[in-house]
Amino acid sequence: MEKKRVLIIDDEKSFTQMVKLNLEETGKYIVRAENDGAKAIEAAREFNPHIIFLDIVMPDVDGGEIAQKLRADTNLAKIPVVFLTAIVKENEVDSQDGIIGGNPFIAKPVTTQKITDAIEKYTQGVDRQ
Amino acid sequence: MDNKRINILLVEDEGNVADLIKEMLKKSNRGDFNIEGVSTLKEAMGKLEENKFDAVLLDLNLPDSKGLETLDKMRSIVCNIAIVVLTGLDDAGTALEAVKKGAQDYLMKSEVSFPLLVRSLQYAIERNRIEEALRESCETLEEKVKERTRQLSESNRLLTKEIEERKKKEQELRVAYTKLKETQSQLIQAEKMRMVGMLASGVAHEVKNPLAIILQGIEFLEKRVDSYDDNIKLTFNVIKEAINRADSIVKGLLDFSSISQLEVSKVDINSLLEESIFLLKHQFDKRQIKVTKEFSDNLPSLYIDKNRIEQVFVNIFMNAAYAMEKGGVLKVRTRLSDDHLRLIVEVEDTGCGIDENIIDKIFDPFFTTNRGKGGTGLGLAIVKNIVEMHGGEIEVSNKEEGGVRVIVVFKIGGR
Repeated sequence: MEKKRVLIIDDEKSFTQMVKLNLEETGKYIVRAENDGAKAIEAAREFNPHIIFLDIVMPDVDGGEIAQKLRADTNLAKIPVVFLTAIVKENEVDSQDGIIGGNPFIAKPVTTQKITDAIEKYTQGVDRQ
Repeated sequence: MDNKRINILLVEDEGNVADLIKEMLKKSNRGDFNIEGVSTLKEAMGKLEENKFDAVLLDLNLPDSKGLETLDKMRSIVCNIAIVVLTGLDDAGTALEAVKKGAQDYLMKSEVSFPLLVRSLQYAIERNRIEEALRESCETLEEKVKERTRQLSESNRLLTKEIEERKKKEQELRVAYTKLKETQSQLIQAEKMRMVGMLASGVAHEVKNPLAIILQGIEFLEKRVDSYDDNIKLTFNVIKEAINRADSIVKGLLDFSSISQLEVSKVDINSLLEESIFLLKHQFDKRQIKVTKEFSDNLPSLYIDKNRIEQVFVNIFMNAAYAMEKGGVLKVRTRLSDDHLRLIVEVEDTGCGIDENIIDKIFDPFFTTNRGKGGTGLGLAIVKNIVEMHGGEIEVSNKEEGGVRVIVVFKIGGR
């Protein structure tokens, strides 16, 4: 079975390193980490991932803006995007059912299990070459 | 008395007496007196209307009038003239009566002599003048008193009105001041919360990212390290639990600080309470807690943040549930205040109550009796903040018969 490609865009290099280690350890995923928000679109085009995890608060670019650019790009629009953020209020996640601005949403700190659950949930039936 | 001539009207039907008196007065060598004589009351009245007299010598028994009636009739025509009554020897009593009724003097016809007559007339005239002056000043005085009284009562009325107006203005001022104070403290509170919000977001970002890294790192190590060593297992678990604890504190802090933005809408408090109770049904059933509701059905809608206020009551109900682990009764009551300006929600439990030593601290952030079991000490601090951001009040006390009473008061008509 083909490994799923996971792109993670987050300025916290240590975090992306750890997530990459844990996901690749499962043997089911290939992970590319991008720590520069400005290079997010470029990385997505090159890597053609099954799913993108996107940090919202980054120093130069806002995760929300990147999500909009992805959606505006005909080649990338169909890739599911899951937000990752540290500034989430519990009641927001609960009241919005884990979805903000049309995108699913995971609060940091996050377990590997939650990440793999999200990958399986949102890539189901999405076929990418 | 001055030397002006004195005009006398003599009313006497007995001719000899009349002549005698006229003779006496004419004899007055100084020529002080003018005297005119008539013999009936009717003639006398005619004369009095024509001319001005200083005094009347009046016989009470005339052909057309008898006794005191003669005096009365005379007085009804001329009230300010001196009258000396002439009387017979046998009628001194009537004469005295006449003086009481307003004649100035009386003379016995049989005793009339020139000096007596002159003196009597002069005295009568003078007495009448004084009486008249007295009457006049009396009237003036009364008039003055009346006028002054009227002025006083008028200024009293104006003063009372002014005092009332001032009182009203003062009351209005007090109300405005209180409102201003309230608004000011609400603004300060909102600004404080905004600052805390910014701070909390910063802290959350800076703390949660490292926590995320630690968690991911621990998870990786867990798979690589010998999982048969119990101490290593324990160590991983302890670290993960610590991450969770730090995470829930930061989450609570974010929650606590995000109260400055309320999403206000029109809410029926009874339905909101029903929903909150429904959410916790499992928690109540598990502990065999009976819920009784006493909802007033004529409550106005509140303008509040539904989710936030639901959070408040869920928190209050959960605290009550924790206090009744072995069952009990949760009583929820809604009502209007007596002045209809506030809506009151009362929540009572039959649980273990709160230690009086800590009851003052229960709203303090990070104060908890439940730290080991995941309490962050932010629940009631958040509750209080939410209620206060709505301009409301919350009060928690132990009931005498045991258990806790929580009273939440909302102002009607928005915050």
